[in-house]
Amino acid sequence: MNIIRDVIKPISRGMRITLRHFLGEKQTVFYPEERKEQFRRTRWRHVLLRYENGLERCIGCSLCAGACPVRCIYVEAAENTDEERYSPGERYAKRYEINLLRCIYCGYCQEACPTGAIVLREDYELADYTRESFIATKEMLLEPLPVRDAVAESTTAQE
Amino acid sequence: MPKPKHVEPKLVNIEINGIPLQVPEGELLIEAAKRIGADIPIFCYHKYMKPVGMCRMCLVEIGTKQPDGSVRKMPKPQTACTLPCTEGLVAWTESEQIIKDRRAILEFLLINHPLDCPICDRGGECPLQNNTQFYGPPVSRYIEIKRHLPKAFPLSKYVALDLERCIHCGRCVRFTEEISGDAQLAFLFRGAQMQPHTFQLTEFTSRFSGNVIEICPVGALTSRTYRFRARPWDIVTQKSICSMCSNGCNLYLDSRSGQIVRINARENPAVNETWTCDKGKFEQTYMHAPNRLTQPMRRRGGDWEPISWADAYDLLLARINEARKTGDRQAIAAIAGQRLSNESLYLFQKLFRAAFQTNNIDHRLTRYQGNLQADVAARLGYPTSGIEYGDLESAPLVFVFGSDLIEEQPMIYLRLRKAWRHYGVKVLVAYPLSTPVEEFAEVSLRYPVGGELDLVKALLQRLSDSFPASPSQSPNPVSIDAAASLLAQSPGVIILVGEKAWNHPEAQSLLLALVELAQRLPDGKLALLLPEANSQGALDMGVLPDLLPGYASVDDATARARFEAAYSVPLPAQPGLNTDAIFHACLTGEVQVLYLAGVNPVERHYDPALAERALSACDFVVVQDALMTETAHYADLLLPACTFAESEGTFTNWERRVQRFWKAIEPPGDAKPDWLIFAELWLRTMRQTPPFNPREIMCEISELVPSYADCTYEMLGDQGRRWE
Repeated sequence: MNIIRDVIKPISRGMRITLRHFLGEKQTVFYPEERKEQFRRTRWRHVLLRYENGLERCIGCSLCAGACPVRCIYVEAAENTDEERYSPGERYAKRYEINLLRCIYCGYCQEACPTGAIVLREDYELADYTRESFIATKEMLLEPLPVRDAVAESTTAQE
Repeated sequence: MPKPKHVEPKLVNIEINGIPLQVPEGELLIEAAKRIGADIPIFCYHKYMKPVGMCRMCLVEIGTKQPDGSVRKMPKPQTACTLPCTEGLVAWTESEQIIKDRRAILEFLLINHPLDCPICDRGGECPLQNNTQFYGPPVSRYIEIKRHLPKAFPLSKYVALDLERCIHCGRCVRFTEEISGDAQLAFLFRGAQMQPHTFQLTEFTSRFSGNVIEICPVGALTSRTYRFRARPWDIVTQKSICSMCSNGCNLYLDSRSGQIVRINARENPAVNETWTCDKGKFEQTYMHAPNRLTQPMRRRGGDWEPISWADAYDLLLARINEARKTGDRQAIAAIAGQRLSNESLYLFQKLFRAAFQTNNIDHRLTRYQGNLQADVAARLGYPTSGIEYGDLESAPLVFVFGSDLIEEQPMIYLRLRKAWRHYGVKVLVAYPLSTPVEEFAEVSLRYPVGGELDLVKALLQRLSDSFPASPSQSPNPVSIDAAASLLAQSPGVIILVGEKAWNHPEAQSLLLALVELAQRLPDGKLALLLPEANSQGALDMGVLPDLLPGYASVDDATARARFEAAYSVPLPAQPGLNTDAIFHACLTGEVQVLYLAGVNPVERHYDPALAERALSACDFVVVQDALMTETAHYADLLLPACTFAESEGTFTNWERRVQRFWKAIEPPGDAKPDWLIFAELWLRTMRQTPPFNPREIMCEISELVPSYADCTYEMLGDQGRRWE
């Protein structure tokens, strides 16, 4: 056995790789403070989008539930009235729930949606403590009202 | 001419897509094509309505075979729905020309269709969607603005009309003209502006309005009660039978998350064809009523105390044993409801006859509580209706006696109207008020309220003395003469006897008079229209004080011996008390324990005051029901039962057709099916193995009741079976 050829040389070669990565660009981030950027088409938690005027895109048609291979979406529809309007047209989703434990994040719901209301986005922090908290309700999924509009509305109201 | 009972059809040779086949002459090509599985898309054609060829969707190429074997082709495509098959007809349903034509028709239909499928209640089960998927163009070339019309216009309490989606097939308009007969819908305007609507935009009040929702091939007519409640893929569909009346319409119950959201008709050509009435379709919601009973309760002073099933059984059996120890046979009595399944009713009578040794059981709340065996069967040979729906079409004359048919028996009304319209069956009606049957009746007899017996006697008199002008109290001697001569001239009259006869103060003499009338007429038949879903089953299952299952008399020792051998206990031989006698015995304190299973005498008995007094006088009242009814307020013990949607079983309709229904939803709370409650009580008193499911109970029934010998679940299938 040749000590130089069989022991030192391979170890130093291995250590060289370690050293290169040690000195090179870091892949890890300080997680809770920093987050890695996700790919644009990453499919994580669902978001229900709104139109620019604040109306919900979702019309409660339940096509997402029909397309879902694991039946994790539950939609209950109701009728819009002129006093209480949630979405354009006749129909809106009164209840919209996704069981995130059952969901396999395949994105079929996004594909089935005729109004582009449901999209899967980058929010990957889905851990929780109880099973119940994995039922994402409509309030949790819905995009917040556009801030710009709220500010504009309040200023016009003040004037 | 009334429809002949049976005709041997003449067969003709035709050829579809190169496949030769023989079909009855005159059969529509569209029906003939189904025989070989050739799919012809349709919109306006409906099996039970006259073909009109309005939508042009069913175009096919046809030709005729020449004597030399060559085929002479028609230059233009023809509609398969209006084309009767004749000898030598040759048709092509999938030729290149036809494929192009279909695509063009669909492109035209879709020009003005809003394509709001995602929010349309028809989306997912829409013939227009399906046909477009299979035969339509992939894209539309129409880029102009579509027409805009009112959305979701409320036509009635149940039906919403969306004019944008209408494709002018005319099915709804034809339904109200041809089938329901009220002709409430019509096409307003012409050409592109055409729209189906009610006259003067009045309310659509037809009793059969729900059917137009089902036959609409697009989402133009939708249900208001089902609006936006579910999509087809959210729904679990289960076969069932309507529980609202004795017509026995076949239904589909569509449920979502344990809630019945919609009821649709299930096709049964022998019963309801494909129709339902609005009562069955929209008003059958009691399974989700807020006053459902969900757990056993006992009365504690003025309050209800929830108890377990075990405690409830203990309490009940303790009271029954106490009452039996007094040695008085009359101490226990029971009344069963007419919406219970055959299986439940059978176990009910078995429990009370064998385990509690009493014949004090009944189910009738009408004034007529006599012995049908003695009154009707002994003379006519059958205890209740010996006729079926199809017989109405082949009878020369149908006499509707004392029944507002459209209210009481909507499906018989539809079939009678069809018989009159298609086969020229004459109709004679006798009712104190104006009824829709009068519109097509040959003669209508309006008698003063309560004058049924006088009327029948007058008719009998006219028939016996070959029409001398005799003085009569009846209002219109002219129409009585006309009616009597009609009756005398038409051999094979069917007399439909309705609610007015059952509740006549002299019900028994009236029934006997009607039996005599039927006997007097040449080949006359009597059909007794029973009030509720399983009234016939209650009679068949022997829920009567004097008859065992299968109409065997309780004092007939040989008949009793058969049941005694099966139950391995002796049965009481004394006929028991009927409903009225039970109530009177409650008042005198003879009946100490009264068991009411699925029955609501305080609302349904002909004399509610008597029922109320009897229930408050009775020592211990057990009410087993699905709902907190008026009667349940008089109970000392409440047992929650299931409705028909939550349990399995069979109903026997007015024409003695035994039909199965299946479990569609889970029962609420601790509610149990009626048969299970009786089986568990049987287990506790008799220490014998109880039957474990309705299928087993039906096996036992088919062994013991000769008329039900063919009615095991395997034999019944999903279309039912009529016992002779």
